[in-house]
Amino acid sequence: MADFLNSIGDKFYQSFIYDDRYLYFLDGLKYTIIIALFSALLGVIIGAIVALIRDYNKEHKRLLLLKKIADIYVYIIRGTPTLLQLMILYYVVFKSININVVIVGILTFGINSGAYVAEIIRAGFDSVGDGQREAAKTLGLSYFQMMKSVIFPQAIQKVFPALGNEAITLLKETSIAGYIGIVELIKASDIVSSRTYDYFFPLIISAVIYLFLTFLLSTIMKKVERRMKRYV
Amino acid sequence: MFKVVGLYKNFDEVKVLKNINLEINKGERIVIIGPSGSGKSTFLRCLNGLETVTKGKVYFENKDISKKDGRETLKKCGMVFQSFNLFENQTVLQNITLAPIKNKLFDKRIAKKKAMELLDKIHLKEKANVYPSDLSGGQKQRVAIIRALIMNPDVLLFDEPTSALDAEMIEEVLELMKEVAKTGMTMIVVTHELGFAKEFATRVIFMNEGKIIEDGAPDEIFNHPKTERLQTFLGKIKKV
Ligand SMILES: Nc1ncnc2c1ncn2[C@@H]1O[C@H](COP(=O)(O)OP(=O)(O)O)[C@@H](O)[C@H]1O
Ligand SMILES: [Mg+2]
Repeated sequence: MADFLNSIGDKFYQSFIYDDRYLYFLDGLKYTIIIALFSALLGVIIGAIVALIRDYNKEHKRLLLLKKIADIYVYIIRGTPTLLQLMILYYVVFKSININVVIVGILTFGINSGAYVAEIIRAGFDSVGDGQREAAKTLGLSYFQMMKSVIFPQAIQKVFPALGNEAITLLKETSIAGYIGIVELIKASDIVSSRTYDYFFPLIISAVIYLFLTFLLSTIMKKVERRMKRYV
Repeated sequence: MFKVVGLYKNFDEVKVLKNINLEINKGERIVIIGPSGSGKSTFLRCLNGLETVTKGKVYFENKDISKKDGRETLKKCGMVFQSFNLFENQTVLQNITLAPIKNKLFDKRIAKKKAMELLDKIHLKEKANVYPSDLSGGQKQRVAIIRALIMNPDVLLFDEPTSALDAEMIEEVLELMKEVAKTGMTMIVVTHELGFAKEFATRVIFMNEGKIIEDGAPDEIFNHPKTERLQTFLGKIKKV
């Protein structure tokens, strides 16, 4: 038994402490967070714009071309694997351009997430109901005044849990960034494993870090959600 | 005020309004009655541009509402809905002041002051800072009415303003509408409250299957209906 514990302690030491290997994990964590954070931001911006274009088109029968582009974008993103999108951006789109690989990662995950966020926000718009839109119109509010003051705040509040889920999905999905050479958390643990010939601890450490991150994220989202519930 | 010429409205294959011609003058209080599905709501919504007409023209203050300047003048046409349609994310006070502030009718301070005066008139001053979900149906509808009033409209449309209300709240809304009428406001009201219609209206229109069947003074419509369809309709309502 003592031997067993000793060997476990040793393996942990090898995977985490020896040669400052925890630095790999910290570095990996840094990239995971950077990519997740900025692509989430990008995703929300793209998603909101796409949802607005579609909504505006539905209401005013204008911006037809933009609406078609938005539809095709959502269709393609939702119909293909994220890994494929990542590889296409890296190996095809940015092949001959000297661009930081982390930025390629952020762009991929941001563009990817934008399609899902667009669908979520659309559901939010639909949940508000036409009555308030009609009231806004008869009060002489413009489309953008109406969206900003009436529809958007309610839509976001209603779909906030879904946006939280999307953020967690996105966070986990960034783990495939290793395919294009970004040393995020999983890739970092991979590197450590190749040094120690032990997969157990590096993977467990990554798992614990991911669990902590998703726990943190959902806790924050719940807190914000509770603060938003002023009306209803 | 309004002039409607050869108005048709179809929803896809369904012909809802069939050749409506009508002139509505300033100061008139018109009540529109008719069986459900006869096109009353659709007609109101064609008047203020919530529906685009299939054929024909609607003029408001002599301006074609399908044109840009016509749409602009429609800001002077308010509407009160059956389902109130208050902005749920805004307090009562914000509901009332949002549109006048955004439309630069008054600045914030004056809009608030006017809103509070109006709220005081309907005895809801103490509800200024609550959300619509904390109001009863009757209170919601009264707030919706003053929200429309603060825009200084030239005409107000009402689409069954009391149909979604419990019986004990109907009266407070009808009372407020009578108060508004005293200011000389032009009003067009779809309602099934025939008692109210008799004392409120200067003119009553009976619609059936997308057409105006009778159009006259309350006394003519209620006491001397000319058509069989109106007689049948009034008979049915009285039995209820
Ligand atoms: N947006 C719509 N799409 C399709 N049909 C509609 C729509 N609005 C109303 N209708 C139809 O038009 C007819 C008249 O409706 P409406 O104007 O609401 O009548 P009323 O208000 O007199 O009850 C009904 O048959 C209804 O089903
Ligand atoms: Mg109706």
